[in-house]
Amino acid sequence: MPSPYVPPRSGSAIVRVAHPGCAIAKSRLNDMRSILSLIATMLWFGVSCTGLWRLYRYETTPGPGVMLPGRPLPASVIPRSDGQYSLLLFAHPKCPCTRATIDELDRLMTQCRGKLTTSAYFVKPGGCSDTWVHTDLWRRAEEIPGVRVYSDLNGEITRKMGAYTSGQAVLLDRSGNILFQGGITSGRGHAGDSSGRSAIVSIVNSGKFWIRQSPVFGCPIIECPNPDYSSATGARASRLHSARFMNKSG
Amino acid sequence: MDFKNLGKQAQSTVGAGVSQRANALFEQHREFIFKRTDRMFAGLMLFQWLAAVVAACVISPRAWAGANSHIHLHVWMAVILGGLITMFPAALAFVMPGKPLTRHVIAIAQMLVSALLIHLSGGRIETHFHVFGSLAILAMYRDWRVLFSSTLVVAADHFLRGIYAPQSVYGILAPENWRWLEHAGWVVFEDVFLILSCVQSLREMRAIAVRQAQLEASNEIIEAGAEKLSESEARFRSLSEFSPTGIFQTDGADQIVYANDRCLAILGLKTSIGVAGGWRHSIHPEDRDEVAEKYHVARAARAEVADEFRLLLPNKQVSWAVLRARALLSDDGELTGYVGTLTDITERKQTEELMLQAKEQAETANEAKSMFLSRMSHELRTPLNSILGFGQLLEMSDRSADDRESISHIMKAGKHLLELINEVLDIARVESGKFTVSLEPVSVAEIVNEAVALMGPFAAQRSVRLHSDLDIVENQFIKADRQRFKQVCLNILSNAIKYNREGGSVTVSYGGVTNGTFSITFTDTGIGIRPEMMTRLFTPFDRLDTEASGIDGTGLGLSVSKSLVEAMMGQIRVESEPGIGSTFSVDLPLSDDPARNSAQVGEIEPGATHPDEVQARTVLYIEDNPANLRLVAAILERRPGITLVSALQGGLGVEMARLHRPDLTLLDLDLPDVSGHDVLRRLKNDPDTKDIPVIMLTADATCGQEQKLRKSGASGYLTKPFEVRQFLEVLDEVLFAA
Repeated sequence: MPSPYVPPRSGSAIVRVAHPGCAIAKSRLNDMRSILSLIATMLWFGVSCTGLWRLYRYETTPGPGVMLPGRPLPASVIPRSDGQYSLLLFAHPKCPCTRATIDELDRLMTQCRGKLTTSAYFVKPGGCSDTWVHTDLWRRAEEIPGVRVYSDLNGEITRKMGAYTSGQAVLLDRSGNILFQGGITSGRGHAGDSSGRSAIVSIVNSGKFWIRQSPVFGCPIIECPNPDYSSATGARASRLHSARFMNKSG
Repeated sequence: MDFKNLGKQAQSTVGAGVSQRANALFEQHREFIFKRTDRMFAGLMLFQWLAAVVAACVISPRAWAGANSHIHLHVWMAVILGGLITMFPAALAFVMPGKPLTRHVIAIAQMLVSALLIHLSGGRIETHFHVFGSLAILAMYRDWRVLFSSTLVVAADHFLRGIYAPQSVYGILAPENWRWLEHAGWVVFEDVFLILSCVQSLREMRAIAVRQAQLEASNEIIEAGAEKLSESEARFRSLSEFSPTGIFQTDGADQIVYANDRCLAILGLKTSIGVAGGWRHSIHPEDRDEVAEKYHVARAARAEVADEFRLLLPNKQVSWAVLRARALLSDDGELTGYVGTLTDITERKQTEELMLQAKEQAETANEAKSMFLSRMSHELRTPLNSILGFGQLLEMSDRSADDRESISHIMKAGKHLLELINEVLDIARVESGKFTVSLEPVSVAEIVNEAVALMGPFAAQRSVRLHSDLDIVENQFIKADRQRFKQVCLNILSNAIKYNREGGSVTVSYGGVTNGTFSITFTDTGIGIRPEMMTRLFTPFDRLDTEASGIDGTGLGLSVSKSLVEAMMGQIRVESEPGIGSTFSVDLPLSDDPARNSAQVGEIEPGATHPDEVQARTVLYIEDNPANLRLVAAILERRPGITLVSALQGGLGVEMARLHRPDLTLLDLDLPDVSGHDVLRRLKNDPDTKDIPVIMLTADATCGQEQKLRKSGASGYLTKPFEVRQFLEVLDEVLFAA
């Protein structure tokens, strides 16, 4: 694109000679303006970084995870599986953060093709219609091969499994032994590589246990009975919880 | 195109002024780009802000807890944090456009927007392209420093998040320490090429600035030249418009391409349009062919044209014009036309005609004057010849004392009258320009001594001592007319004696030689000349108020002498002191070959033959004046053996010459039937009379007469009135020399 710049003709500029006093005052004014601009810039940068940091904290703060016992689950809660392993996924049908979980589930099923069967439970509060639960997340999960989608009325199954955060996943073997439990995203609504997905893929494909637990990032599926998992204090507790999982896995 | 080398070459070749101007243009262009890009980013960031809000509202409008929901944090962050990130740089773009701080804030803000959008989009890999796109857009600043700022933000973001929230950026909880470098490295990879692009772009901008400066400099020169050309053209048009001379130009096809008003007026044309070569039709028909021929010859030779011809104007008036034109040639020598002037010379021609007529009239008048002088000379000399001739005869006869005194008065008055006539004739000759001198080497001492000898009796009569010192330069010669130089000496000596005091002296002395000029001084002890009269000294007929002194004179002597000396390439100088005397100096050029000239001078002793030894001779005198016939008869009576026969008419004289075969013919010029010239021609053409010597006796003493007659065959020439002694000497010389 040709530049619209048209250079001024030489000699056409009007040269104004300022009074020396005016020049000094103008110079000081410019200096002051520069200092103020610099200060304002630093303040702006600091506030902007703080806001972003707050956003990071929000996205990287996990919800309360599952605290299931080490013994196998009763057969009544184990879904029928075509493969060697079963994955239980608990989600809120309207949680925007769970969209990343569904994306990661798609990748996970692809990586574990034929070895893994997933049962996704979407909570349906009492009094809500099927339309309320049949969201885009529901439909997206239905489209993933090897995934069965269920409506969990009033969150009964979810409560039984102790899943309080949307995106909670539990990996079981044929015997109902819990092999892994936690989220499969690296942050709230954040798609991409995550330790949870990597761990499941490792267990299913190679039988290697890298970690057994991971933090879960998402909206609360149901009201959390433990006040420690609510609000800001819940976030801190969740981080401690995640760290404990990691220690155990190590 | 190698802009780098072009820029360097331009920098080295252009002058300091152009380089300075180029730098100014470059900085102006950069500032323009900075401001323009600032404004563009302000708009872009506002758009991004809006996009972020929309994205947040679409992707994650609400956060849920069971059946309850509230507005998602992303929405608040998009609105508040996005606004915060956007508004400050956008404000700077309008408050401080073009400033470095604005650019760097915008660069940092763009990276912060990238971070915000990545988070709002759930960390989608596609959103990460916003970072790379932003870097490319920041390169539009053509300032690689803004890339440094933005890259620093990206690197710091990855570094700090790698430490404090590694899973959010790397997807794992314990990434390697260098992992942030991998991410930042891709940004730097793009930066490298963007920086190269910026540097290249800056070089091109500088080259463009240099070219622009050169163009401006050239344009200024061209504008100045055009202004001068315009002034020159205006000056030419002004000069051409008011020029009294016609100016024209034709092309190679002889078409008039330019003619000023004066040119058209001279040609009698109203406009040059369509005239073409038809200007020739203005030339007078009688001159047209000749002018056309000259013009064609000049065109063929690519030569200048210069010609005068007549013009026949539409109103049938005839005027004269002079044409001067020069050929216009192209670089390859082809004739492209003529440019020249046309001047109306009608007035000049008329003036020349008048001058020619005046000249002819003057020549006619001069002829009349010469005729008058000749007649006057003849008419005065003829009676004077009788007066002086018979007077001399009376002086030679025995007379009483009273008669001698009377005769002396007659002779004195006659000579004075003769002197007056001679001097008037001399003045007339000088004024008419017909005065000629015959320059030859002349011995100064000889001429001066002759003059002194001639004036000796007069000096003695006036009791004035006359003395010459020129014997010391006896062999010194000057280039002069012998007779005229002698006349000058006599005039000066005559004045020196006449206006001297009794017992005074006149000395002729050698004045020295200066620059090839010989000086003779005439010093007297006379009354002198007052200084106020020195300017009138050489004025004809001005006797300096001495008319009442009783001293004879005409007032022509010095005037004639001055003219004679100047005719002989010399000069007369005068120094005088009243009461003491005057000194006249005559300066004449030296002669360098006296020996040869002196060898040519032959001495004739007139009258050397004794009259007693002569045999009988017959002399024929053709003269219509009886008094003159009687005078000559009286004189010849003093020569026994000479028989005088006479004829009163020319034709009769020729017949008598054939009949008597005289030994000598005396011939008057002014005869009643035929002129003396015709008589002389007849005598010399007749075999019977051609050997008879003829002596002309004439009262016509006008210049050149003697030479003309001698060329026609005259053996001698005597002007009336003649000295009896001189007449006898010439007679003896012709009759008895053999």
